[in-house]
Amino acid sequence: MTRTTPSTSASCASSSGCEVRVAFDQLSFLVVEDSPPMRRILRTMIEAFGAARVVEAADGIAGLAAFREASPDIVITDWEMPRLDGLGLVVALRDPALNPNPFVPVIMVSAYAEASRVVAAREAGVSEYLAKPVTPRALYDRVLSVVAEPRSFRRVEGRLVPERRGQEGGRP
Amino acid sequence: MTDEPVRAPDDLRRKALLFDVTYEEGLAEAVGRAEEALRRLAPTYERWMDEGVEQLHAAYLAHRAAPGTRTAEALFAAAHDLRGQAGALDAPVIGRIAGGLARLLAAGGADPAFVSHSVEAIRAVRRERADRDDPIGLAIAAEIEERVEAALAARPLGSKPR
Repeated sequence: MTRTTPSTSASCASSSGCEVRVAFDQLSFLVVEDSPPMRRILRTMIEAFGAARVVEAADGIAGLAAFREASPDIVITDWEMPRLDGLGLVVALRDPALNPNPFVPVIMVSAYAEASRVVAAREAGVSEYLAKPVTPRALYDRVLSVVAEPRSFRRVEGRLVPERRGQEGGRP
Repeated sequence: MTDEPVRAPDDLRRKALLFDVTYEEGLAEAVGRAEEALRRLAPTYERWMDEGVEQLHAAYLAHRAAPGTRTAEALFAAAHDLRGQAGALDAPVIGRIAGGLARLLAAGGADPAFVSHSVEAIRAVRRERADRDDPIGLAIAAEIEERVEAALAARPLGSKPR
């Protein structure tokens, strides 16, 4: 029997022995990526997972417009893009003055794998970071993570920034 | 003012988290569907790689003809995109060479001859289908990565990467 509850242990996500999965048919996604092949690959994976809706944008400016239009549940964005890059997009999304849903989970996918880049992405407001090449398993786990274990946030100079894992203030 | 804690809403947990199968079963089902969908997409990978390599070459020619910030950024973007997509498109050797080229371009002051050499190496690997576990392709990638590391190590102190 299928059941839903908000009270499962956060430690269940991405670990063996727990009964937990994502109902993708309840979720809509925005994919922001300037490379058409990568956009297609990400869309293919998410649609195959069973997502209710996938919207695409080719850069950060178009991504912001698409976000306002579509109000997706989860944003997946590249870093390097023309006009407005992924970091700029995330900074705008985390600003309550610019976005009515500054808590939206953002998964960044990037060819950058250096630790300094991951830290910069986190400080900009990224929820989860995924180095390319993206595998279906890695993407599934990141989505499960943002759904099952939403991070607490802190307000920094007007913007909302997700807490790092292990620094959160006691989510049950 | 900094560091005011804010509890995030857990709407997605209520909306989209189910507890009807084990994590492994849910993962296997979703990933299996995605892998099957990617297999159906695979015939287009060759064309996408050809287009990516052509875009890099075009960006290189444009930069060589008119060196400047705009053409340099376009060349970096082409190399970076190729690096990103090559891994997903089963072309790891080209991904490694393009990655080295992107790092060097991001650092600034790249030797034009080495940039040319890297672009031509990518074209050759693509043309000869010398990717994946091809020993010549692997040797080219290793040589270029070594030269990139040496060039980055020789950068003047205080120079900052992109």
